[in-house]
Formats: sequence, structure tokens, C-alpha cells
Amino acid sequence: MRKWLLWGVVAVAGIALPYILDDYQTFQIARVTTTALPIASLVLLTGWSGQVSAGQGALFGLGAYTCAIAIVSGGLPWPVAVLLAMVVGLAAGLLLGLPALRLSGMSLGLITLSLAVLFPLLLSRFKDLTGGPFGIQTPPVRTPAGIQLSSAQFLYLVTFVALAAVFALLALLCRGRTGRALDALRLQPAMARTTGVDTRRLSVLVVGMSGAVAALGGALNALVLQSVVPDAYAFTFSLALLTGAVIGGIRSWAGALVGAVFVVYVPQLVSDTVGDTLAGHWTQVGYALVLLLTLYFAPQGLAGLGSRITTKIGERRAHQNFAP
Amino acid sequence: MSFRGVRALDSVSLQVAEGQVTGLIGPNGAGKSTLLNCISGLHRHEGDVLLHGRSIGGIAAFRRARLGVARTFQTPALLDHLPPLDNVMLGEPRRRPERQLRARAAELLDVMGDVADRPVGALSHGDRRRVELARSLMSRPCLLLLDEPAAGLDHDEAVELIGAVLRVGAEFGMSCVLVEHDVELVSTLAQAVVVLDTGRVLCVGTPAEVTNDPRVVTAYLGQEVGV
Amino acid sequence: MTEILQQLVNGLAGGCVYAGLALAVSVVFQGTGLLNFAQGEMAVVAAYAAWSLAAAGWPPVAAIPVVVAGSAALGAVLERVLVRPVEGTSPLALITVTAALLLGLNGLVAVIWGTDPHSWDSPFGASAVRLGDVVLTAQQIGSVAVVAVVMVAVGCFFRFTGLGLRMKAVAINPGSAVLLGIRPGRMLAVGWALAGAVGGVAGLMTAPTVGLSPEMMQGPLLMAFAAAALGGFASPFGSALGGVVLGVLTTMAARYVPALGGDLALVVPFGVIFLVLLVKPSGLFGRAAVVRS
Repeated sequence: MRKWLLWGVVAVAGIALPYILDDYQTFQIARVTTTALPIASLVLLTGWSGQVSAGQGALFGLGAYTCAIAIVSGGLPWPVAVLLAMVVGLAAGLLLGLPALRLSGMSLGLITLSLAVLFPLLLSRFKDLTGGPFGIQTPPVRTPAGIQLSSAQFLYLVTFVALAAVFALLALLCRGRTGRALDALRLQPAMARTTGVDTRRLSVLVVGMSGAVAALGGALNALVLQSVVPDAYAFTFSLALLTGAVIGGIRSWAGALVGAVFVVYVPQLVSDTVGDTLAGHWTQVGYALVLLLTLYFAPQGLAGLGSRITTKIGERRAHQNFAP
Repeated sequence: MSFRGVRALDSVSLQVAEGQVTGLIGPNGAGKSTLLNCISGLHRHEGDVLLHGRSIGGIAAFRRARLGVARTFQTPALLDHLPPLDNVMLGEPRRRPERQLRARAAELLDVMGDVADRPVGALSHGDRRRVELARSLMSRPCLLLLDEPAAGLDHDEAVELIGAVLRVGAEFGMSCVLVEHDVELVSTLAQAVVVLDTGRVLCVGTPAEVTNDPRVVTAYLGQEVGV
Repeated sequence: MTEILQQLVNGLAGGCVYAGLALAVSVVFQGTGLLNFAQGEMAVVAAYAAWSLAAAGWPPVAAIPVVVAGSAALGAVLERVLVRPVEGTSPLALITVTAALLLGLNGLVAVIWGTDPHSWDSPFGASAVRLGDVVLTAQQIGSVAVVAVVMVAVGCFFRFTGLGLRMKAVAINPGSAVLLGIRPGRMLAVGWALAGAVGGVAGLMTAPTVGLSPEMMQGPLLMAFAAAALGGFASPFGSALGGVVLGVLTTMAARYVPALGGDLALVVPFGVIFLVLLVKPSGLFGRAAVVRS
């Protein structure tokens, strides 16, 4: 009951924000909502089905480039381009997930790491398609006629709706029967098979879905930034996403938002403190530290800490009620 | 079938009479768990598995489960972070409304005994056993494979527990293969016993016949057990 | 014909370095079942450290052993301080630690030494040997020799020494190993130290050829993983052999397949990983993992 309330508050706040903030700040929170998508894909893939991916950044980038190319070279309207990106992400996820079926944990991690390293190189190589190192600029998304919103506000709300829909879908998926099956897949795969769980199909399904979700995030992010460049999707970005997921809580949807805030704002903060040239590298060191600290002291991430705090408050209240 | 060249099971043929309990005993390493793994589909094997005359040897484990093969493991295979009810509900492979599943799971847990509603990881070994056994009954299996369910329990507790499982199973004509070390337990509960030794069938018969068979006594028991 | 032979030679030489890194990856995998994503970055640290020492006037003969010893120490320290606390928890936690190490070390190297690439003269000198029309540089001969010696040494270590045997025991059955009085934690530290040293050597041998930059080991790490996948992660010999094969494959592909060139050669290890996992997940020399449930 309390969870619904909390989510309701977040939803209302989310919709209200663009009216309070200026266009630049709205742009920033749109970056957060779109970055929350690949992190949510990690929550599903790693937190729930137990498969580690070091390549969600590449899938994000794949979605981004598909969307950009579809709009600029293909002349497609942006909603179609975004859908196309999702389909490509789904296909890529399935393609990656299939060989990973034969082995446990590491194999998907290995394939996705390879993809993550390879992806920016492929982007730079196929200049004609991808614009090479300079990437592609996408036109801004115009607010449809009749709606009284600025371009930035409208686009943010689109990303907000997409995120809400994905969260709702995934949360629903991970409840009840499928949720139990995922838990079994992650923790006791042999037992899962003997209780009728088609572990192979579930695994592949999850990898496919996570690919689609990550690509969706990438596509929307491309629209928000109005540009796609290979450097943005270096394999360190995949690791940054993993960091965000772990910090937020690898099994927490709310944690995906927390992680996204982290991934979007920390590089900014670091760059403001340290100056531009080495900012990226200091950020990496920062990520590494936070990641390690989280692992050692708060393994369930900030969401875990959050629930521990609310539990403690609840317990204290209970004690107070029974105080003599 | 073989593990990396070690022949774990050689020409083993097991017949389970319908509605009855077939005990499977033998010294360590005889291949009892391996046989269960083959039947449930976790290991590849030569030869076939027939369920009510229908061949399921080429079918994946999860399909065999959906056809009515259920099992437990030597160490209870449970989801430690979930409460007993959720663990038991996992045992039903078919799609059913959650409320129905919850009710049936609660019923089964009741039969198995009083189990605290805490994450299963925090429960005692005996309680974890009960949860796993309840789970194995959720799908109303036609064949239940029990892999040393009495390990870690005292004798009377084990008799009571497995007896409860068999009583529930009798409602839908369940057959059972009971792998156990406690020969007395098997003698009490099983109608037929198969003895395995180093991957081969040593002897088949009623509990009385088997425990008095000199080959079995020498290979395994080392002492006489009165039945 | 000469061209092909030359490419072959180049491939073999490059492959030997991948073999070294693959060996390091395999050692850690044998001991922990963990893929150390940070193995490459540890090698980068070694390369930069050697470069700094050389710049400070140390002769290679002195700098290299010091750096290798330092790499071993680094490996042991990383295992003890960062990896040990999460050992035995989930595989995700372990992978995350190595990912964190990867990020952190990569960032630190750039922060300490800067991002500009540097060149480093080969410790073996700049001479070359001609065999017919095929040219072998001193760097190539030297690095192959060094890596070969290291591989043989590691092989002997595991085969003939008590410590090596104890390490294998821990890898195969940690529970029983404890009962024999072997301390798994200590063996893991030794494993990481060994991997650190071997990786460090690989890094030192790569640096003169590819130049020093924070990203220098990203490609080779991928190669090492592909090599280990090909040869079997749990088989050091297989992994090393895989490295050589991959070196040849990549060089040949880069030269003779028009679409691939330069960086894009990394498509080869990706393809290898993909195919191996699809067809024979345990690798050419690995044995299928059999778990008795």
C-alpha cells in the first residue's frame, strides 16, 4: 500500500517538474529519464534473471544510432524511428542471448563486453552510415500543434511516459508467477527446470527485452541530446550503467532512477570541480570507488538502504506503541 | 550414462509400480542420485524413460516436470529470500490464478507441519525440508522422486513427514521413488526395493527379500537388519 | 609467399603476447571461476611503471624485474583488499568488483600519466634478423622468448611444485582443500599475484609495439578473453595456445580481408567468442563442466 503511494507521489512530481523548471533543467531531467531505461534493463537482466551484461551501453548506442539514422537518412517520423530502434534492440538482445544459454554467468558478460569494446569502433568505421567520429545531428522534436508546451517540456513528458510504461510493464512482469520463475532461474536453475520453468526460453526472453528497453532509452536520449557520437557509447559507459544499477540497487526499479541521476550528474560535478581535460577519468575513478563502497557496505544499493531505514522506522514505531 | 568416462549407470532398468513406493538404496556412489537426475531430465542419458508407457526420454527436464515428474534434492533447493508460501507456489508449472495457488500452497504447508512465515533461508533444516516437500506436491505429480528426504531428520520425524507426503499423493495415485540411506525407513514405507551398487542393479524385490539377500548384505549393509 | 610468411610471423609474435595475457586470465579463472575484467588494466599499470622507471634512468635489466615483482604484489593486494570481502557471495558481486577495478585503474592511469600516447623503445634494441625474405625484429624474438619462458615456468610451477598443487586443489575443491590444511584465501592471493606478474610481463612486451596509452590493453584483453574462450578458460595451456592462434588469425584477417583493418581487427576475437560459445562452450582443451547435483 505504501509503495503505491510513493510511486504516485513520484509520478505526480515527475509530471509537474517541467512546469517548475526552466528548459535547460528540463533537458537535464530528460537525460535522467532516458538513462534510467538502460539501467532498468540491467535491473531486469542482472537483478532478476541473474545474467550480467557489460554491454547495455552498446545496446543503448545501437538504439540511438538506429533512431538517428532512421530520421536523418530514412526520413522517418521520430515515433517510428524510436519503435524501429526498439525492434533492433530486441533483435540484438536475442542474438546475444542465444549463445549465452549454453553456459552460466560469465558467457553473456563476455559477449557483451566484446560488443561494448567493438561498438564504437564499428561506428567510426562505417562513416557513410554513421557520420564517423562526428556522428549525426538529429532535428529537434517539435511539440504537436494544439499542445501548450515548449519543445523541451513535451519531449521530457514523452520520455517520462515511456519510462513509466516500461517500469509498470517490467514490475508487473516480475511479480507473481514470472517473478518466481525469474528468481528460480537466477538462484536455482536446476531446480527451476524440475518445476517446469523453461529456463532457456525465459533467459532469451529477458535478454531480448532488456535489449529493447536499453535501445528505447538510447533512441529517446538521441532525441533529447539531438546528437549521437561514437565517444558517448564507449565501453566505459556500459560500465557506468552497471555502476548506476548497483548503486541504486540491482533489483530495484526505483534504484534505476537513482542510478540514472548518478550517471547523469556525477560527470558534470566532477568536470566542474576538476576541469574538463581529465574530468572523464576522474569520474571513472569516482565510479570505481562508489561501486566498491556500495558493494562492501550497502550491497543492495541505496534502495536497500532506503528500505532498511524505513523498516527501522517502522520497528521503532511498533516499539513506541508498546511502550509502557 | 557416463560422467567423463566414469560409467555412473550401466544398463540400469527401474520399474516403478503405479501408486506404489519403490525404494532405491545402495552405498555411496552407487548412482542413486544420478538415476534420479536422469529420470527428471537433468542429465543426458542413453536409454529411455517411460511415463505411463509414454516415452519422455528425449524430452527436456522442464517438459517432464509439466508432464508430472516432480522431485526433491539432497540439499533442499529453495529460494532463500522468499517466504515458504512463495516457494511452494513455485511447484505448480501450469498457469493458475494466484489466489488459487496461494490457497493450495497453504493447504499443503499445513499438512507438512507448522512452518514459520519467514524467509526460508532463516528456517531450520527440518522446516526447509517440509517446504520443499510441499512444493513437490503442488503439481499433483504422477511420479515423485525423493532424494534422501530423511537426511538431517531423526527417524520418527522422517517417517511422519514422508508418510504425510505419501498420504497426499495417494489422493491422486502418485507413484514414488524413494532414495534413502536409512534402510529401516525404506523397509517401512516401500513396497518394492531396488538395490544399486556401483552403477548396476544388484537386486530387486520386497523389502524383506532384499534385506535378507546375501549379496546385498555383503555389498552394503554389513550387518543384519531385522524386518 | 614471403608476404604471407611475414604476416604469419607477425601474427605469431603478436599472438605470443596475447597468450601471456590469456594465461593470466586463465590462472585467475582456475582459482576463482572469475573472469578478471581488470587484467588488462593491471598490465597497463606495469607498462607505465616500467616506462617511468626507464625515464628516470633505470636500465631495462633492473626496471623489468622490479615491475614484474610489483605487478605480483599489486595482484595480491587487490585480491586481499578488494576481492576477498566479496568472495563467496554472488557472481555478480565478483564481476562488479573486477569491473570497478577496470574503471578505476583505467582512470587512475590517465590521471597519473596523462592521456597522451607515448612511445617506448624496445628493451631488446632496434635490430632485426633476416631469415630469407622474412624479417624478425629483436622485439618480436625477444617478446616471444620471454613469454615462452614465462609459460613454461608457470606450467612447471603448477605441475611440479607443492604450491602449484595446492592452488589446483583449491580451484578444484575448496571445501576439501580446507580440510587438508590449505588456506583457500592465501592460494587465491597467490593466484592473483601470479596472474598479475604474468599479465605485467605481457604488458611490458606489448608496450614497445603498440605504444603506451591508457587504452593500450583494451584490444589485447579482448584477444585474451577470446583466446581463453577458444582454448578453454580452465586450461592455461589451451588459453595460451588460443592466444597464438588468435594472433595469427587476426593478423591474417586484418591484412587479407578488405573490410577489416586496424582497430576493426577486433571483430575477429568477438566472432571467435561468439562461435566458440555457440559451438563448444568449454573451448578446445577445456572439459565440459560436470556438476553432480
